[in-house]
Amino acid sequence: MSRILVVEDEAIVAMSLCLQLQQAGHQTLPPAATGDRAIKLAMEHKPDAILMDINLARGMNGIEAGRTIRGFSAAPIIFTSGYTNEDITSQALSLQPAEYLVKPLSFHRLKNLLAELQIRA
Amino acid sequence: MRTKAGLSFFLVGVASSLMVSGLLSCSPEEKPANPLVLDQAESAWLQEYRGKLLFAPDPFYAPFEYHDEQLGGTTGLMHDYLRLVEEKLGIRLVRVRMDSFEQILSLARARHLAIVNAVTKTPERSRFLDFTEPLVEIDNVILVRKDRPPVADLAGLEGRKVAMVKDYAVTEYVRGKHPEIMIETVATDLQALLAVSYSLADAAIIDLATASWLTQKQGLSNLKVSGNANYPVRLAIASRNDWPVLTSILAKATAAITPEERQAILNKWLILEDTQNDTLKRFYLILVALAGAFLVVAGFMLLWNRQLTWQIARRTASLDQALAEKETLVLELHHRTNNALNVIISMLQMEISAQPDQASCQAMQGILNRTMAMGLVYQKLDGASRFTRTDLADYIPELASLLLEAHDGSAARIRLEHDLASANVPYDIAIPCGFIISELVGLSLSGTRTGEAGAAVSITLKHTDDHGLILGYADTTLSQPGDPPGRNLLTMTAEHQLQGSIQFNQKPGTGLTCTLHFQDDVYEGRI
Repeated sequence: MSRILVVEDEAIVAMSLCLQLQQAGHQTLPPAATGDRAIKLAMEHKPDAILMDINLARGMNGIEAGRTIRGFSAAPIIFTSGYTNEDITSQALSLQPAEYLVKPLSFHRLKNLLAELQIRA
Repeated sequence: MRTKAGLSFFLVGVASSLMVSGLLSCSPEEKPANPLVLDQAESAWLQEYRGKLLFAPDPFYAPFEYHDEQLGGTTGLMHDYLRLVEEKLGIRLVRVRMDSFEQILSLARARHLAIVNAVTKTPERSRFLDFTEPLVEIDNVILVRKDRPPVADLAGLEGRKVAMVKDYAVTEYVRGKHPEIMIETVATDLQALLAVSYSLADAAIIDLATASWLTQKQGLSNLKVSGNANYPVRLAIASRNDWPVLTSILAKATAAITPEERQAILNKWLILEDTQNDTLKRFYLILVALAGAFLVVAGFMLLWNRQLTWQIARRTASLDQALAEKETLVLELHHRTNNALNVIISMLQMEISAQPDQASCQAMQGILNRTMAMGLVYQKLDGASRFTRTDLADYIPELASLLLEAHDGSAARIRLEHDLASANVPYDIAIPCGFIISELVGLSLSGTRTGEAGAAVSITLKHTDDHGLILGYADTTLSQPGDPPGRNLLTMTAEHQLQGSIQFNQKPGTGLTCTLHFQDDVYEGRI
């Protein structure tokens, strides 16, 4: 069973995503609300995929956290954000993520993406 | 060369007053002054004749030598030279008053005068006078009335009556060289000019400086300088030629005149000329003042213009910054609204997952769909270059796909077809359109259909001639549409919020078709 790290500062959104992933048969790590916490969890638990929001709590944003994680992990990063302006998307895409999903999320689309990435439930 | 230049300026003023130019002469070449050293014989002679040397000044030869009633004595440029000679020699000549130059020459011829001033050397005068080097040199000119044809030179005066002063060097010269000219001798230069002015003579020949002086003083405005006699006046100081010692003394005294002294004399008479040409001077002064004022105004305008440009640039930069800040703020507001809606979506998704009651789930799914419709609008606005409008051709298909996918992957079972014209509408229009699409998709998802395979939903958008929009929705395989709670909301949204009309065709076997007609300017001008 694959392990997925959800990085999201909105607690309800994080809970909902984890719940839907679990219902789809995935194992989820405790969600991270900050970039530091995400890096720590990624180092300790080596997730198979990371769902990364861009706006996070306490300074470090999702792109910066993703850049650090990319230094020690090859796990696919899927950015999720309400931002669609060119400045932010181009920064995120420079890390060559698996996908950049815009909120509101289509969980069906997310499920298909994980399947394409061979992140099996 | 200062002397020459100074005199030229003086004469330019004179010439301009007579409306001519190009007839100017110059003073003799300037020579450095020699110190005045008289030998023993000269000193002894001077001592012996002190107080006995007679001199008769010319009363009418202005500006070189003339009697000035206001000064009560003789003055003039050449007279100043003679005064300088007197000072250098430490003597005072005894003045004898004569009425004309003719009388003065008669006295000199009879050896009654020791010195004659302001005279030009001629062969006839050389019989009884010796001359110093010329101190002033100036052209003799031909003057005619302004209404007469010009005469350029002496040849042009053949057979004409010309007024000239008796015993002047130029008179002697013209009489000898041009006997064809009819000379009318007069006693003074003024008489010569008056003769021309009153048509008693065709022309007059006198020196340029005197001509200028007299025409201005006497107001003889009908005269003009017409030509040059080509016989300049070379004014010198003369002395009786039977006194060679005096000739030697005068030669030494005039040679001792320094360039500064010459300049001082010229400056004195230049000032006189400036006073006479006050009008001209004032004209130039006004011209310079106007030019200065123009430069000041132009400079002020330039500075003002630069300051305005700088202020505009500063204000533009300030406005650009304010606009950028507002754009950032609007973007952030859209983003936060989208975030808040995503939180609501997540809450509903969790509730639906945990809710066992099918009816409750359906009700919550309806709310979820409408919330997603709103959220997607804010996401589209976030990425748009215009912050208040979105293109329905982009928004509606994405929303329909999202809704179909959200319903447990229904997108795989129901194929979406769309043909939408581009229509940039404000979000006040986009959101109710999104509500309507979400309700219709809800009807498609909750209803029963004739065959599950090949089910297709078709959405179209067209512009009308009256600047309206027609949104069409068709689900032809739908045999029995569902009846979600939002069905009434559909009509309400179309007619109340969009101020449009909506038509349903819902018959068993033909599926569902719905047509919404509305104007896209319902909320135009709203903030």
